[in-house]
Parts: sequence; structure tokens; C-alpha cells
Amino acid sequence: MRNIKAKQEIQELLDSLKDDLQEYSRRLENLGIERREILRLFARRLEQLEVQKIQKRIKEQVYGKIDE
Amino acid sequence: MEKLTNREQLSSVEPVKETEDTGDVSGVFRVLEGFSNLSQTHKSSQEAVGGIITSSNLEPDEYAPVLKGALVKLNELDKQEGQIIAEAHASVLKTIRDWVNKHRMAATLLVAGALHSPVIFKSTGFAESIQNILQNVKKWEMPNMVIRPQIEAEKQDVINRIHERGARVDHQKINAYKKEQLKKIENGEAIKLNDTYLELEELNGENPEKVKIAKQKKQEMINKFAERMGSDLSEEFIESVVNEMFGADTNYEWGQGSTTEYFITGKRNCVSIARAEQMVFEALIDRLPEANRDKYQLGTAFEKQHEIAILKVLKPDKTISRTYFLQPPVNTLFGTAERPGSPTVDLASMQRAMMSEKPTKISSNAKAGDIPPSPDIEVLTNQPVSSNIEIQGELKGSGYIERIVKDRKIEIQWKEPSITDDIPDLEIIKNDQVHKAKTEIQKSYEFIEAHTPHCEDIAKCLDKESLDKAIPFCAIDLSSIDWKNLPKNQVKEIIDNLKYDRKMVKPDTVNFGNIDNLPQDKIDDFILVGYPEIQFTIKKGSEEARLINSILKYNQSFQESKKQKLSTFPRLHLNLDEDLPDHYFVQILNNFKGEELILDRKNTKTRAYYTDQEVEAIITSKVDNLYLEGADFTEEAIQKIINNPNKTYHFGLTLYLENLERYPEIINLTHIRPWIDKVLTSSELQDVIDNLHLEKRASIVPFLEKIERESIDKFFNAHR
Repeated sequence: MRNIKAKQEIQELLDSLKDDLQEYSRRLENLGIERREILRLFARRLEQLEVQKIQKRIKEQVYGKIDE
Repeated sequence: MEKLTNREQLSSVEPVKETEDTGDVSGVFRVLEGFSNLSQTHKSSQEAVGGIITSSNLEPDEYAPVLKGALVKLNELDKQEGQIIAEAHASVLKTIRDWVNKHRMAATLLVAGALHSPVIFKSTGFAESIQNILQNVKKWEMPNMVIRPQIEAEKQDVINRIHERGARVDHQKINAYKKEQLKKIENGEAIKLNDTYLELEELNGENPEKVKIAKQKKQEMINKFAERMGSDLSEEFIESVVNEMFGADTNYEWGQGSTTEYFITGKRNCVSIARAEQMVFEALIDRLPEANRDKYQLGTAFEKQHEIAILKVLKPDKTISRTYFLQPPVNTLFGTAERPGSPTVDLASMQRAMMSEKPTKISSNAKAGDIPPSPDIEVLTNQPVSSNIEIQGELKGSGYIERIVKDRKIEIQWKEPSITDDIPDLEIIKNDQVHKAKTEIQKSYEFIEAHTPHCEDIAKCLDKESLDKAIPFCAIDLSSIDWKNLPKNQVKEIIDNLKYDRKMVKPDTVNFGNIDNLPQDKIDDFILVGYPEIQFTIKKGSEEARLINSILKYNQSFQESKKQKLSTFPRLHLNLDEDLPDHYFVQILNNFKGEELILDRKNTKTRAYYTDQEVEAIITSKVDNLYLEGADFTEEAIQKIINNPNKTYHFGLTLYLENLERYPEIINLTHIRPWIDKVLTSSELQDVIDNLHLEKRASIVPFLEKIERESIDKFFNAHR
């Protein structure tokens, strides 16, 4: 009997911990989405800079150095 | 876009996957691991930034402004993430701590399970914190845990020995002895434990022959130690005396035996060894040169269900230099340092408490929650003398008891919390009330069964020759039941057991003792148990008025309504506390209606006279048969009773005989009768005869002898 009661109590702890873990995971997941978005934008921005850099180099090859 | 795909793999947090745990221990640890892994996330975003930069063909000055902007945002997110993780860890630690505190038994299983589960824990601060919480769940620190060192047969053996000892107890002698000693103390006389303690044990039923031997052994022990003592008590000497007196741990017996028994056999419990040590050290100190005697003070330190003799060494200014705990390994406490949860009492105060009627109350010096919980010891004890000290507050668990438990491999068991789980008396657990009550009830019915001609239990039946068809006076004594601390369901269980129809003649009376804290409906239940007489004790305190009102209220409703289950109200026997104000006596007499009422003030220390108001209430009372004891009548009062034959007055034997000496004619009055409420001893009988007028003796002595026979018949098995 004692073991059955103890198992129920362990199950209660498990349920409570799982709920908490879900909640904190959800909040961290939301931050993760934001982080991924920032990283995506950062990478995108670097790509744009790279593109601009390439375009600038091509222009220079075609038109000579351009003063900006 | 290939780079982006790689970057997406660096996502900060994996969603939590549902595990297929079944509520088992490993399920808990898997979830805890999930919490532990929460901290691994933001590091990956920094790596992601590095990866993005490395994979680009930009120079630092080219991406610096963009990087700066991204890092501000990412750092903000890292900060938020750190806060959430810290919050998560704090929350889970709190959840676990609260759960562990609430469910110690389950926590034990969890810890045990952790040893076998494929965990998981990496050495992070968080994981270590969880481990610390769980590992600190030592069995000893768990509340709602009990140590049950006795099996049922051993308990029964203890009960038998208590009864055997109890049969030799003379309470009058004990009270007289205590009064005498208390008087000496109050007169400033220092009484010696050596002169009193073994005497007290004998008065409390210890075998006199054994006490004699114990005194001899004690003296031999003192002489032996004194020979090697020198002119002062050295630390080495103190330790050697303690170790020698204690002997092996196998000598320890749970709460069993007297100091008498210790001196004879060496078997000990904490109380018997503490008193023995105090006697030995008291005698040794007395043999020191006078200049060295005053610096020693003996006492007792209390722990939960345990006590230890102590020896304090005082400085010349009487402050404490050090305290020796007279129990191996003889720990020493320097100065006046306090041990919360382990108060001490000096020997003189303890001796005063032992001789006093009311217990001496002391504080445990611990605030609630200061003391780690420890298991209760459920053991039936047999110790003749109580130290009569009541400790209020929590007491620390005893390391000594813990060691004995461990050494003897006694399993500590879990039990449901109960409101009767007060800190019990030393080594005495009170939560055995239902069993105790049932035993008392059973005993009385067995007594009746043995006295009936159709007795079925052959082993217990009386033989035909000694069997009397009349069942002698038989009482169920439940006065020692701790009704105040008994849960409702247990009260009900006892009542149900009393009401159980045994198809047998019922015992003459049930003595419930003090029930003043019980609610009205329970008091009604007590009255309705269906016995010819019920006894209550009414004590002076906060609840006595309520109890009296409850009884009278029920009596009134019984008289007014004819729907009650009983055809007659049981004879009500009220044992009135000596300090109970007179107006209660008057109130009961004025308001109680019925055939029989017993008002017994037997406990009155010095017999006082009934007051005028009380006499008035006695003669005007509506009760048909009034039984009285405990106070005397003035000449005027007895004349009033003689002249008011409106009811039958039953005088307790003491009251009757006192009046018979003064008014021998009462033996001819049918409305004044002797109430046989005790055994009439031959010396009392002789006193009465001696005080009678010579010319009256011839007519009264046969009457007195008849009362004597009836009293013996009533209280000592009339059949024999």
C-alpha cells in the first residue's frame, strides 16, 4: 500500500515537473524563434552586403573606380 | 540558401518531446534532465553568428555595423533566456524541495530509484542542487516516520509486566511520600536522589527484594569508583565511569526497566541509566573535599524521546565552564552554549518535579521549524517513576537512538500524519488509545463471561465451586484514554466497541474520565452507550462549564422527550475535581432530573464541609437517589437531611461512618444508606467501633461487619 501511495506521489511530481518543463520550454521556444529570425535577418543582411560588394566590384571593373 | 539551412539546424531550443514514462522514477529523472538541458541553448546562437560571419566573404569593417545591431538583439534575447532558465531551475528546485518535504516516503523511493536508473545527471550546478535535495532525504530526517522496535508479543509482555508491577502500587503511600519529600524541599532542605529514587521505584511497584539488592549493588559501584577518584573529578575519570556504567550497546532495552533492574542486571534504558549515573555521581561528589563539591551540578538534557544525564562544571562566579554529557562518547559543551531542541534541567528541579502533583513545564528552546523532523518511537514502556517534566516545543532527534536503530537494523516505517503525533513523553507513545480502550472493554467482558454459569471459554471460566451466579462489581475503566487528542474517528471506534451487542450482562459502570473537550453530540453518544452507569470526571479548566451544560442539556431533552433509545437515563456518576468551584455542584443538583446521581468529591485533599448553598441544593434536588462523597456535613446540615426524607441519600462509606459515629440513629433511617464506594479496611472499621458509645456498640457492630463483607464482596470477587 505504501508503495502504491508513493508511486502516486511520484506521478504527481512527474506531472507537475512536466507541466513546468512544457511551460518553460514554450517560453524558450518563443525566444528561439526570435533568435532564429534575428540570425536569418543577420545572414540575409550579410548576403545583401556581399551582393552589394560584388555588384560594386563588377561596376568598378566596368566603369572604373566610383567615388561614393 | 544552403547556408541558411545550416543555420536553422542551430535552433536554440528543441521542443520537449513527450516521454512514454509511466509515472516511474526514471520518468522524473528524464524530465529533470530536460530542465538540465535548457541551459545549453544560447551558446549555440553565438556559434551560429560565428558560422554566418565565417561563411561570408566580408571584411570585419564591412559587416561590423550589421553585426553590432544583431548582437544587441541577440544579447537581449540571451538575457531573457538566462532569466527564464534561472526561473525554471529555481521553480523546479522549489517544486522538488516542497514535494520531498511533503512526501518523504515517496522521496525515499525516488532516491533509491535514482541509484538504479540510467541517469543522466551531468555535473552542473543545477543537477547537483537536485541531487543535494534528494540525497539529504535521510531516513532519520523524515517526519511521519516511526521506529517500532517491539513486536506484538513483546508489547504484550510489557503490558503483563506493567500489570504485575501495578498490582503492588499503593497510591496513597506514594502520595504521602511525595508530599513529605516536597515539604522538605519547600523548607529548603536538599534531598538526595540516593535517598529517594529507589524508594520511589519500590512505591511504584518495583519488587522490594530487588530494590534491596539494587541498593547494595549501587553502594558497591560507588565504592569502586570512589577508590580511584582522587580529590577531584578528572575528565578521564568521568569518561571511565560513564563508559563502565553504560557497558555494551547490547545492554540497551527500549524504554524497559527500572534503575533497580539496571543496578542488578546492567540492562538499561535512557531513564534508568541517567538516574543511576546521577545517583553515582551525586555520591562521588559528596565524597570530594568540600572545596571541590560546589563546582559540580548534575542535571538532565532532553532530546526527542531520549534523555541524557549531564554534569556541569561551574566557575567560581557560578557561570558554566563546561558540560559533560554522561553518555558515550561523553561529549563536552563549553561555556553556556545552548543546544536548541535539547533543554536541560538541573537535578534539584527534577526532584521537585518528581515529587509534585502537576508536571513542571519547560521550553525546548527551539523555534518552530528550527529542528529537523525525526521519527517517533512507538514503544510500550515500563518505567516505574516519571520525571514529571513536560517539554513544550520541538525536540531534536537523538543521535544515540539513531545509532541504536542503525546498529540493530530496525526498519523505520512510514505512517499517515495524525493529530496525536505530539512529542510524546520520554520513550512513551500515547497513540495506542483505541487498542487500550478495546483491551479494557474486552477485559471487563471476559471477567463477566468467567463469572457466568454458561461460560464458553473453558480456559477462562471459573470452576463450578467458585462460581457465583451473581456477577460481582465490574467496571470498564477508560479514564486513562487521552480523549483530548483522539481523532473523531477513533472516538467513534471506541464508542462503537462499547455499544457492540455481546449478548451478555453489561459491566456495572464505564468510567470515561475527563471528556470536557468533546462536542455536544459526542457527549450525547457517551451517555447513550447503554450501560447502567457512566462516569465522567469534571476538572477545573476552560471547558468544565461547557461539559456540565452539555450533560444537563442532554438530561433535560431526555426527560422532555420520550423518543430516546434508552428507557432510563443511566446512573450518572460525576467525579468532581477538588478545585471545582462550588456553584457547579449546586448547578448540577438544581438542574439534574432522574432516578440516580452520584456526586463524588473523593479527591478532596482535606475534607471540607458542604456549604449552606450546597446543602440546600442537596435537599431540594429532584433526584430520587442521591449518592454523595467527598465532603462533610455540619451538625445543622445532617439534621436537615435527617428531616428531609424526600429522597434516598446514599453516603459514601467515609461520609457514612463519620456521621454514624456522631448520629448512630441513622442506621435506622431508610432514607440514609451507606454507599459502598470502597473497600472498608479492618483498621477503619476498628476506628469507628472505638469511637462509638459503648452502649451503642452491640447493636451497630454487626451492621458494620455486614458493610465490611459487602465492600469486600463488591470489590474483590464476591464468588470466592
